[in-house]
Order: sequence, then C-alpha cells, then structure tokens
Amino acid sequence: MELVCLGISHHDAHVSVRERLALSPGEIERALGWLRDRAGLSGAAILSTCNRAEFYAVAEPATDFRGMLGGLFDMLRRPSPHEIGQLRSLVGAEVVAHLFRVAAGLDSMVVGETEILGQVKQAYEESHRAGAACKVLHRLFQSAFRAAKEVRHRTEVTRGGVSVAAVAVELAEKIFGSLAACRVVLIGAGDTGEKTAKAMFSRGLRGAVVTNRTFERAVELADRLGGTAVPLSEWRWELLFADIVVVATSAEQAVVREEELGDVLRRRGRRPLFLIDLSVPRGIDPGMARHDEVYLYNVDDLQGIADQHLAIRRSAVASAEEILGRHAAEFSAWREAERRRREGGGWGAVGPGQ
Amino acid sequence: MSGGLVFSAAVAAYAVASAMGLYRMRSRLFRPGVVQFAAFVGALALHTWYLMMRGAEVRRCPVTTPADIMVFVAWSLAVAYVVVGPVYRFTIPGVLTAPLVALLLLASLAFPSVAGPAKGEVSAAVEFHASSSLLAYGALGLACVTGLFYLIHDHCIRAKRFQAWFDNLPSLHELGRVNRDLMLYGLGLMSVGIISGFFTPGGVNAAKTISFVMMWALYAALLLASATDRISGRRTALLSSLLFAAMILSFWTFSLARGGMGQGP
Repeated sequence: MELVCLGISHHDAHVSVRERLALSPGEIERALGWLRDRAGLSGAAILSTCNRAEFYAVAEPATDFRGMLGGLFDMLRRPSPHEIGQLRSLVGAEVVAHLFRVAAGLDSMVVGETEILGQVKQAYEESHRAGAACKVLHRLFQSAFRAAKEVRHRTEVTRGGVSVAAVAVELAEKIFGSLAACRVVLIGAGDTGEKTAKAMFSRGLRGAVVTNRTFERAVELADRLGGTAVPLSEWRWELLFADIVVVATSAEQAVVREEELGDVLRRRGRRPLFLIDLSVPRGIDPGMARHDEVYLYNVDDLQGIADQHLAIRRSAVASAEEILGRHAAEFSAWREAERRRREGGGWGAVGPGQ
Repeated sequence: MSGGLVFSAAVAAYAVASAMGLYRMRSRLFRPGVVQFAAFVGALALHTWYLMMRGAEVRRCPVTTPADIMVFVAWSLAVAYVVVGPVYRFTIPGVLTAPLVALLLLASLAFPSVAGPAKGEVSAAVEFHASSSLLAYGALGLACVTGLFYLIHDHCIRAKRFQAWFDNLPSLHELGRVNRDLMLYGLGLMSVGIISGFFTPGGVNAAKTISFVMMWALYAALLLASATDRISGRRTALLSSLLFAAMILSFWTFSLARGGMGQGP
C-alpha cells in the first residue's frame, strides 16, 4: 500500500481552477463514502479549503487514483474538471513531507497562518467519521498534528500578526488584555476601518460607535458591526467611554486634535487610550502621543510591525523544516516497522486493507 | 533531620523548579508545568520547615541576622508567588521567582547564621512585628518588580519596538492590576507591622515609626490615585518602584544607625 496525494493549491492554480475542484462539506462526506468502497484503496481524506484541494489516499501501487477522481466527480454529478489530469501528484515520503508542511502552515499563502491546522484536523475527522481513515492515514495525520504543534511552540513561524488589522488587535491586547471590556470609536466608515473593527470584534470587543461625514454610511456600518452611529459633531463625547479610537478617513486635516479634546481627556481620567490612525494624510494629531495614557500608532507603524513579523516567520522556516524532517523520519520508521511486522506474519499483523 | 539538610533540600527543589521554568521559557511557555509547580510548592514547604527549625533553635522568629533575614525575605517572595495568582505566575517575573529565591538562599550562606544575643527583649510581639514587616517588604518588592516589567512593556509599546522575550508579558492592564494587588497586600501587612510595633516591649523607635507611617501613607495615596484614575498606569508603576527603593534605603539607614540589623525593620 502506498501513500498518494493528488492536489492543487494557490502555488500552482488560479482561484478559477481551484473552485472547480473544491468540495462542500456535504460533498466531502459523500465522496469519502464512495472512495471508501473502491477496490485498491484502504483509506482516503480530502482537504478542501479556499487555497487548496487535495485528495489523500492509501492505495495499492497499481491503483489509478487519478482516474478514480474522475469517477468521483461523476458520482457527485459535477462536471469532471479537466484539471484533474494536471493535478500535482505526490507519492510515499513526498506525501508525508507535504502534509506536514501544510499542517504547520509552511505551505500557506501567508507563511505560518494557523487556520490551516484546524482545516487539516477537520479533513481527518471527516475521513474518520466516514470510516475512510485507515491505520496509516490515522498515524499520518496524528503525526502531522504533533509536528505542527511542535513547530508552533518551538519556532517563531506563527509569530505575530501579518496584516495591519491583526497587528492593531494584538497591540490592543497588549494594552488591555481581553477586549471584552473595551469599546471602540470608529471614525470613518470605509473598508480599512471596518476590517480593523471586525478583527477586534472577533476577539470579543464589547461595543463600537461609528461616526462618518455621511451619517447614513455610519449607520449602515454600525448596523453591520452591531454598534451605534453618532453624527461627526458628537463623537468627542464618546471618548469618555472609549478605550480605542480607530481613524480611517480621507480628510485633509487631522480629525482628532489635541486642542479640541483637552476637556474630554481631563474628564475621562488616566485610563489608557489606544489611538489607531489608518488615514493618509494622518487623521490624528501626533501631539496626542505626549499624553501619558495615550498610545498612538499610525498606518506605517502597523505595517512596519506586520512586515517584521513576516520576516521573522520566514527566517524561522528552516528550523521548522528541521522539526518536520524529524517527525517525517519517525513516521517512516513506524511504516517500516509495520511492513516488517506484516512480512513476519507476527501477532497483530494488519490486513491488506491496512 | 538537620536544619542544614532541610535547607539544602529546599535549595535543590527551588533549583529544579528554576531549571524547569527556564527550560520551558525557551519554548515561550511561562505557565508552570505541574511538576515544576509541585517542585516549587515542595521547596516552599521545606523552606517553611527550615524556618520553623531555625526559629526553634534561636527561640524567636528567625529574623535577627542578615542570613536569617535573607532567608525570610526569600520565603515571603515564594509565598507571594503562590498566593498572588496565575497572572503573576504565568509571566517572566513569575518564572524568575524560583531562581531569585534560590539565589537569595545561597547568598545567605555568605553570612554567619549564628544569632547573637538579642538586642532587645525577645517577645512574641517583637517577632510578630518583625515578621509581618518583612512579609510586607516581600510583597512590596514583588510590586516593584512587576512595576519595572510594566515600565519595560510600556516603553516597548510606545517605542514600537518589540523584543521576543517581552512579547509574552501580560498586558499592561494585567501587570497594572498585579502591581496594585501586591501593593494592597503589602499595605495590609505594613499596617499589621506598624500596629504591632506599638505593642513591642520597650516602646517604638519614633524616627523609624514615622518613616514607616510616611511610607504607608504614600503607598495608600498612590493606590487611591490609581484606583480613581487620577494617575496613569505608567506613573503608578514608576512610583511603586521608587517607593520601594526609598523603603529599602530607609531600612538600611536605620540599620546602619543602630549598628546592625538588630530586631529587623
């Protein structure tokens, strides 16, 4: 029995191709049930994300897995994509190395992203539920999870956010800890501000107040975020209750000016205030940073940190690869031991389906 | 079992906890592992046992020689580590507590541990006064350390420079909270120390008492100002560190003026 993987990813295919091969959760369930019953296969798993579509199998050497995938799409009543013929093919140790890299985030579009590990776990669980995870696949995926976990703990490959919004959230957490008690004032109802506010809400932000030159747009965004909208003339008083201010406007002059906020700042006491300026030209008077309780970051600061994180992640890839190599060697040793045990016909020998 | 053996066992257990903590820190894990925490608690139990043996030996609270005071201060740091809670334990200062305690115990060996004749009358009141005051020093010392970490973290955020080591510090909010909790804990112990000082035989040393009460008032004012958001977290952290430095300075001044460590602070 041989480990096989056929797949495409963002490295070698445009999204228009990937979407033709992507399967929905319901289709994956049916596909695994169908593959489980094919002669020559003892196990199968499908990893389908927005960046990759990969079909893993434990198959007899003579099995035409590529041809089988054509039949799979027919069974799903989907047009069989002609790209099946061009899927990258990996065999044996290549499959092991590839899956380990994928699970550890080294093969992702953004090196070190951690969401993929959850998706790989889901792929394994779906295979297990469908009764398509044989002993070899079980061991392969468990080893991949262990390897990815070690990479995460022992290297800096997943360190820090690599987008402006993610860095802003991390900084807010460095100041306030949990965001569950924090309120944000969002000045400007554009895309950038919305992304940052959403990233904060994903980490438990308590509430948001949105203001914008066009009040209707502020209301629309507030509705989408589950916050409230206030007219541009009234936002200053919201500072009394706010912990974070995100300014993302295209105004020619700073909208947050020290001389206009003196009274509000005095009244709100010395509670920390995190000011995030995503505007160009800058929307927050740099003089605000003079206040003891104020932490001010502009878009260049945030992008600089994101770039640093990316560089750190890239520099950690070599040590991550070493860890993966060790786990891959352990997996190979296990397979070899299994093969000897089967050939020896000893007690506990696994059947041909294993 | 001899006191020396218990002392050595305590140092060894702290050393094990230190080694495990530093090893885990390499992997950016600050939360103590079960074995590591058990080693620390075991070390603290041995440490406490040693202090009890030492107390029985010198027939008073063992805070009368420089060596004993170091052992006692180390003990108060270890107690605070266990008592203060996870926010402190799961951080760099938390990880560094075991090595610091082990070093203090080892450093105490450099001083003669034989207690000389007591300079004042030995009584339960004196011992209670001295031990509660030393525990207050321990708590306020940890508040100072936490305050320093707050200042480092605050500086990194303002300067927009992040070192990998300090990346795992708790948030400023949490460091500030631990800093205040420790000051509150220390203030309570200081109150006990001051009040019990009035019941010691031979009366109080007026200058020392005034200095201690002034420190108490400054800490209380600092806590009040911080709780009502009248001063920023940064200033609270800075002042807590400066106040502790002033307290240590006044302690040494009084000790020198008395020509030794006498009856403790």
